[in-house]
Amino acid sequence: MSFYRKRILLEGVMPERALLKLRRAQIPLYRIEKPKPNQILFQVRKQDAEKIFAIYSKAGAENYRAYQVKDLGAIGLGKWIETAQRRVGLLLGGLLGLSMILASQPLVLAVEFVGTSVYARETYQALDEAGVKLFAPYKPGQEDSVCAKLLAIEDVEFCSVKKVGHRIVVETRLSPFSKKETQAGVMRARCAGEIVSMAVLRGTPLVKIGDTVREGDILAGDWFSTESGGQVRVEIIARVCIACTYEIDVEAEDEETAFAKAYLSQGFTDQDTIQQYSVERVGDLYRVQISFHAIEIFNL
Amino acid sequence: MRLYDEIFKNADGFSFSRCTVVPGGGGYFEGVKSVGDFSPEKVVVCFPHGNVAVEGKGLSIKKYYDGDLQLSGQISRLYVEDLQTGGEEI
Repeated sequence: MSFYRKRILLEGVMPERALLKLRRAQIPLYRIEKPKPNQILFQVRKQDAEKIFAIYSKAGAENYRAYQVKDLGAIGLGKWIETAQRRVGLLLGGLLGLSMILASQPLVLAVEFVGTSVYARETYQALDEAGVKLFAPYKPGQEDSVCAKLLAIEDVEFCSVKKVGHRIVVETRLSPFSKKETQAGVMRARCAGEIVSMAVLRGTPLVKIGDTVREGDILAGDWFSTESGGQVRVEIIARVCIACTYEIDVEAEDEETAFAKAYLSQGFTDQDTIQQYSVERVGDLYRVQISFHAIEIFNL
Repeated sequence: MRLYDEIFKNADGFSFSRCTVVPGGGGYFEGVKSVGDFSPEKVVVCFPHGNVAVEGKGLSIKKYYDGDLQLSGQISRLYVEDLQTGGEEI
């Protein structure tokens, strides 16, 4: 290749005399310069460089020779070719990385929430139903259906979905008039009984499963202790299940009516579950005893 | 080239050695046997029948192959250098 040349440095006494031998070997020489009195710098084609080293020994050879040559490397495009040949691994790695980037362009690698991520679970569900999954090719045209599902949520007043690079950017804005207010303060037992289950996501639990509590006892504190011994005030997020027993004497015509009156008088919530109940006649009244699991929820 | 052969047919052997010089520029030399003294100010080109000294500024050999030598730089003076009879300026 005529564009692939090497620079050779020839050292010796009266180095221009060495050119005679190279001329006889019919080696074309280019850009001959004399940087020092005992040096000649010239360029040859790559295929001729080996001939020169056959004629004159390389610099640092054990046997003394009148002239010694040193390969200063390729120039121009040849330099880049030699560098690429020495760094094949780096080149292949770079090409592999580039091809991976190009191949992964249509994939979805992450979901980014802008505005609020309160409804992240609903967003992932809506994306999944629209066929938009992580680490899978992106299917365009599903943005409106995802937004429609999110806008169906009462609080959401604005929604937009778009693909930016490898990410799906979901922008959601809530209506300022429907923000749920959080409860502050400690969490107390609504009734007396035994702790069946307890999950405190934020705050400090003060009782444990199996403990017996009275009505009004503090179940979880609205703080957490730091490593330095201080306390930080927080809003409790917790769910506690207490096995309670409620007993009341009611006036009723029959057992069913007595149970109904007792049920209404207790003020069960939707989460409370009745385990068993009994109704027995006591004089003119019915004694109703209800065993139930009271579910205490704080900011959930 | 036939033209050069015709011009130099009586030149007594010099048909194989030629110097083409551009005043203030470079030069092209054919039939070069070897290169003698070589520096950015002076280059001695050796022919079978004598030497030609070229003086100037920034002289460098652009190409040297098979008896042809291309000189680049600013040639200001050229003369035949003969050790026995002395230099004869051209």
